[in-house]
Amino acid sequence: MTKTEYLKALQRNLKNVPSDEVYNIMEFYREYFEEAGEENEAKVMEELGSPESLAIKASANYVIQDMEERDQTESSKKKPFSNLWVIVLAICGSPVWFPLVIAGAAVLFAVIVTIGAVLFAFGVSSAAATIGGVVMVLFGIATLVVNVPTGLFAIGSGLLGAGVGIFLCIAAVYVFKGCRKLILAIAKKRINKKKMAA
Amino acid sequence: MVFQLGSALLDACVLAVLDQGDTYGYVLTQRVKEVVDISESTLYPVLRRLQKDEALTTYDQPFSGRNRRYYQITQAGRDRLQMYRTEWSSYKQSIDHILLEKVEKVERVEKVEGGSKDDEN
Repeated sequence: MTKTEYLKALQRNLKNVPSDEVYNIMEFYREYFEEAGEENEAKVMEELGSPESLAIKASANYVIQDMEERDQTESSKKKPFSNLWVIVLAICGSPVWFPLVIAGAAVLFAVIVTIGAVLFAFGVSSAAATIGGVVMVLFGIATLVVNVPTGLFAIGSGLLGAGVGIFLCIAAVYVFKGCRKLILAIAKKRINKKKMAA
Repeated sequence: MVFQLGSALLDACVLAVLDQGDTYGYVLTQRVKEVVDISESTLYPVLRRLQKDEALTTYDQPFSGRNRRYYQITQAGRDRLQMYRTEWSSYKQSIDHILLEKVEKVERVEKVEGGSKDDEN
């Protein structure tokens, strides 16, 4: 493979990276090749690994940094998981498409989706408890006119339900944020390991 | 190297190299690689992050018919480097303390034994 072919393959495989950043990444590695000198091209390619795997690491690093920056600015809450597949690919480390790697990616993806689903269910249940509690309180107030003990009981249990619900909602938000941070942290460690098991 | 290099330490190393003078990607990578075991793909994101944080700036300089991108440390970068130096020195001391000072260990064991005797009384 020549330097030009390597750089072309690198560019082709940069995924989920905006064009100005693609330009920056390409310039960085083009310069790296040029500084190393023609006689060292083969050595540089060996150090950098296959263009596909370098592209995946570069894409994933970009996506992670982008997510972290967004976390810091707290501006955009949309699509928190849209870029996750890039990271999943990078954690698996290699674009050599052994069925095994795909299976690994699928399992990892499934684990992440499962955790996401459990969290989602947790959040929905908490919200349901809160809403149920509020409804119960309203029902209790209405019943108060007809039957005071029943009404009081309904208001009491309604408040209890709403309280627990709100508490769980808050907990769910923190657990969700924690999980996301954990995934990012693990991904960062894995991607930038010296040698990937290719 | 058996010890893992965290991103803060990597930032610190890059800033320390740049503190000695402006340089370009290839030389920077080689300099950092001399001391710590990193993969080539690690350095670009580090530079990008430091640039976003305004700890460094870049400028292009023509060199034999093309551009070299030089990285230059900013005042914010120097402040951050100073912070890293202070943090590192205290971190290093505590690790040295637990890893290297065998005499300390013996003294501590004696202390603990003395302490447990006191507890019995």
